[in-house]
Amino acid sequence: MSNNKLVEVKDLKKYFHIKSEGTSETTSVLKAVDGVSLDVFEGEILGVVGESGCGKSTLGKTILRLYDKTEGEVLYRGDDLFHKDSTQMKEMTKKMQMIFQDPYSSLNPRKKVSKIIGQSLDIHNIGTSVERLERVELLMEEVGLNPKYRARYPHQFSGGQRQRIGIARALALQPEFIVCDEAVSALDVSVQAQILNLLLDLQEKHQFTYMFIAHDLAVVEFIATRILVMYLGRIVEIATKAELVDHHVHPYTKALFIASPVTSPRERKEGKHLFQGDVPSPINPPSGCHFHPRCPYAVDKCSVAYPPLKEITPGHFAACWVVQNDIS
Amino acid sequence: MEIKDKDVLLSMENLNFSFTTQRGVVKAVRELSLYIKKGETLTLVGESGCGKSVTAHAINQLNPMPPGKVESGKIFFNGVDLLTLKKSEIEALRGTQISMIFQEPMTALNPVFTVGSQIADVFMTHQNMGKKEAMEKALELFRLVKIPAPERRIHAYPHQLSGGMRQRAMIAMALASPEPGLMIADEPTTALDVTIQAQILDLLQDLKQHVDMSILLITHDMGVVAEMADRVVVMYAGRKVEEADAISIFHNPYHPYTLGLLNSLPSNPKYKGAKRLEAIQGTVPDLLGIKEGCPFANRCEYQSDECAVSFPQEKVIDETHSVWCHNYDKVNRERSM
Repeated sequence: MSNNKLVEVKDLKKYFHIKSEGTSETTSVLKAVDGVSLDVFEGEILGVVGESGCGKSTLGKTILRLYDKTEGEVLYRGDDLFHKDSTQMKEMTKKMQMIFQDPYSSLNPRKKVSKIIGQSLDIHNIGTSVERLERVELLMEEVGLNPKYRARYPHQFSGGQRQRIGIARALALQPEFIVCDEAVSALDVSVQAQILNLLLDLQEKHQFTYMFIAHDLAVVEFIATRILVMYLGRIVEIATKAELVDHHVHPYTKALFIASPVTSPRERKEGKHLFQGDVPSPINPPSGCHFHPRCPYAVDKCSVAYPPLKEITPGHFAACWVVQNDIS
Repeated sequence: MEIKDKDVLLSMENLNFSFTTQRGVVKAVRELSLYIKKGETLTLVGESGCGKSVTAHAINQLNPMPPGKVESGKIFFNGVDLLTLKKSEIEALRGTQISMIFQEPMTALNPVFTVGSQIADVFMTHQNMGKKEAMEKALELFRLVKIPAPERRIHAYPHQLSGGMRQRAMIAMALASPEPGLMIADEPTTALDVTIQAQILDLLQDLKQHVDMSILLITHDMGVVAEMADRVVVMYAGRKVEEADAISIFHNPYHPYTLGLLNSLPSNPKYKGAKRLEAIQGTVPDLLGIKEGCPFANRCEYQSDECAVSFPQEKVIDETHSVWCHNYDKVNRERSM
């Protein structure tokens, strides 16, 4: 990991307006990403972890401008993506790619694998058709697919192989920055291990920068170099992997670590019920710190004001009044 | 393995279950034997398509038949062979001694009735209770499974509850029987967030202290196995490949597939600071037209010639631990090096 900032996200907000059925009135606002600032450094694997509805996927998609922002900035090598016109944005897609969760719905069932992987080469008019096919075959080999299957359709492949197709498609334009959105969540555990290894091999070979979004703490803990924890649209803690694993301070991060299943029956422990309650709806999140109704450490202030993300130790940020010792 | 009959609630003997499809006959479960003792939690673990759900659904006969078919085998529950019972007798058992919770409680609950009335239904159908008494019983169960504000939630429709609460309601329904015997839990926490999963697993453990029941837990997640299991049956491509107490499965596995599953977990402590995982190569075989021999052979680093020819006989490690592998001693030697 270098100190070069590849992506800078500044106070990014993405709100969805929810309409009730049968009317045109906007009835409520879902603040999926609500004021997120972060840097992605060149060559790092930034793990983004959180439970459903925390906004982690929306964050990834808004950074790639697959969603329009509500407010804020996303700078890629210093340029604001949201100031680019469609031609400039099309150029940018060569640099930024995405790998999706569901290897079934993210591949067009009516297209052959060679078309799916080579589509971006067609769109950007890269090479002759013969060169494109050669490139597709190389990509298939690189992700562990036999190139002789290039004329097959997605349904003729297993889940793990389909995920390899999705990865090959993301690699076609030789990007720098790849957002992996729950890229291994739908896979069986033995296949998941293969794909994690593949993603690491590719990163080492091509010096990619990954933003690796997942709900599974163990997966993020293994693959990431830095970890960001989200809860209901906001960052609650961010630190290097070693720091976050050994010295996490935010009560929600603690809850995630405590809730993660043990790795041996010998380690079964009491006290998982320390953190009660459900994840609240992001449409109407609790006042103040969104985690306060579930937090055993909450004080009065927590229900009134949202704590800022503050540096606890160098490079380690947390948003918690109690941790920041600012509870008066 | 010797089984003392009086402790055993359920025993399955040499079950063969197949599905007829347009492409041919799929042998989903082959020669499967297992037993569940009173009060214990047995987990069936394996990846998609290994036959774990089909095995469990064979017990309460929820597999669609046809296309499903029991080719052979026996399933004894409290001494009675379930496969010889009439449909009505099985239905009576389902509401009284064999209950079930599913992965997705939203699809398992009826969306047009309140959760309370659905639980009350169980009491009214199987215990001839009146509506009022049944609702009171349902409320009692809501308290037992720790649903917050139970008096209010009992009148809620499934969509008004969160995923975690819906699963609690399902568990309450499973407990709505006069003599809870066996609870079959099919991936009960797979659809839940991790903090909610911890709460539900905690609840199940807690209930076992208060209610006399056995749990057959089906999961793909070795983490859930580590949290819950007394004993474990590992399945691969329709076959039982290893069976042992939970500690032995995690600390003394003999089957290359069990070892591979444990090595596939990024949370395995051996990977602290590691750069890559020791992944099992290849993919699960197509069960259609699967050959004799060990189904794991083509992915196995320990495979020898005999693996392609015959499925191994049971190798007994100790009284609670058995493995079905031709080269189990080789696995053990290398693992302990």
